[in-house]
Amino acid sequence: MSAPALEWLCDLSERTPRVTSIGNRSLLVENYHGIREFTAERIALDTRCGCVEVCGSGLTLSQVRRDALVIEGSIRDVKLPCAEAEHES
Amino acid sequence: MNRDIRLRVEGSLLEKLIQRALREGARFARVRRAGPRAILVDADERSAAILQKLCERFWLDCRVLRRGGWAALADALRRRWTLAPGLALCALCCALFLSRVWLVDVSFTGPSAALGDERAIRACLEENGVAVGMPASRVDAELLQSELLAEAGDYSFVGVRCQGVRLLVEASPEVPAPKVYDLGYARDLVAARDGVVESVTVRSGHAAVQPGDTVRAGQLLIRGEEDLTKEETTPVGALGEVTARCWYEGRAEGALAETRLRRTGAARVESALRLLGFSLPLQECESFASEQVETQLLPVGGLFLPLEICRRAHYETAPVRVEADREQLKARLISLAEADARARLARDGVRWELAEMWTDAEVEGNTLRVRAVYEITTDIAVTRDALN
Repeated sequence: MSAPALEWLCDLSERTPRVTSIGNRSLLVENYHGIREFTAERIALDTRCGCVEVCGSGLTLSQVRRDALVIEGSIRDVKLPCAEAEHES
Repeated sequence: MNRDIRLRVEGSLLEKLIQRALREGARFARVRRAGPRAILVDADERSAAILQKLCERFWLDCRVLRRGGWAALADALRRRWTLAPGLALCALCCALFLSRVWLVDVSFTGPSAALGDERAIRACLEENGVAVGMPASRVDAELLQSELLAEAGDYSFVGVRCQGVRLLVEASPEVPAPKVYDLGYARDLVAARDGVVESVTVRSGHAAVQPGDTVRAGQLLIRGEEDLTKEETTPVGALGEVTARCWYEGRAEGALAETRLRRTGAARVESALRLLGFSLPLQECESFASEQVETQLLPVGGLFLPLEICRRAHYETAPVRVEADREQLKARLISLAEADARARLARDGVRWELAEMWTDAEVEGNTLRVRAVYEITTDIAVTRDALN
């Protein structure tokens, strides 16, 4: 069995953060650990890999659960620390 | 996840508070920033309770801004406890109202609906105990139908239905028996009035006219005989219809100019003092050859003394010729002539259909004469007995 075929299993076991964007109005964040900062312009979420930052305007949290939430509003920028770390390495 | 309750939480480190509530099992439908130190949280009742408990523990200000769903309904009902009994009372009143008959309608159907006697039906209903306000459960529709059929007159059908608060009685009066002709009784059909024959329908006998013929009143239309053989005939009662075009005239006339008396302006006044039957002239004058007189009574003695001054004003008049408005007069005469023609039609009592109608007017001297003609089609065949 090839390595890419087992990636979904890796996601499950390691609880890697997953960010799904629907246009620029809605962003689903799964597997987050906590809310570091929450304002109408910036939302920062703690994840296993680091901090996921979402910038925009009129940002709100909806469908807030312990492991997933949806960020709504006019989303301008999303920063993913894991990707940055990979790029830096 | 519903959003029954909206909370406003004020304080610092609100992100931590949210995280703590999530760890304790809360879920939030929506979280919004309401200021640098405030958030608005929409949550269900359980999650709101968790959040409120945490706020209480950490000395944070937490207020309920809006409450919806079943909890809000329960709260509203607790606040307005009279609502439920009121609704129940209203429902009871509605049930009481709707369980009674408040309207009794009588309608007639069928070809002889005009022959129905509503008063007789209502009288019969009253005799059977039907009245406005009676309980609908006491209305026995079948029994009422039977009673009405037996007592209320000649009806071929009577239906009684209870529709909510309305009792509907539908009755179909009996169709009057058609006139029966004795075929063995020999008689002819003749024209009831002058006209031009349009169609001839013979059910018994021989036609004596054909479409297009002009007939006079009393002229033979259908001869009452049947052929037994080529040479031999037998008398029968003639039956059939002869539709003809007939004319009915109505007339009216009016004067184009009339003479009226108009005051010339000259006036004379006489007066007299009157008490009961006695009269004392105060001022006298002569009458005009043509005049109008106006009398005024002026009481001078008060209520208990019938003393009065009778003042008579004489106005001289002269005859003046006044021309009538010809168009107005004509319109008025046309309507009068039409009414006259319709009255003649009604007087003859025939069933007719209007084929055409026209009016004409003529001036003769000082008189405007208007004639309205109704051209109708009607059955003109009648027996000689009916003609006489």
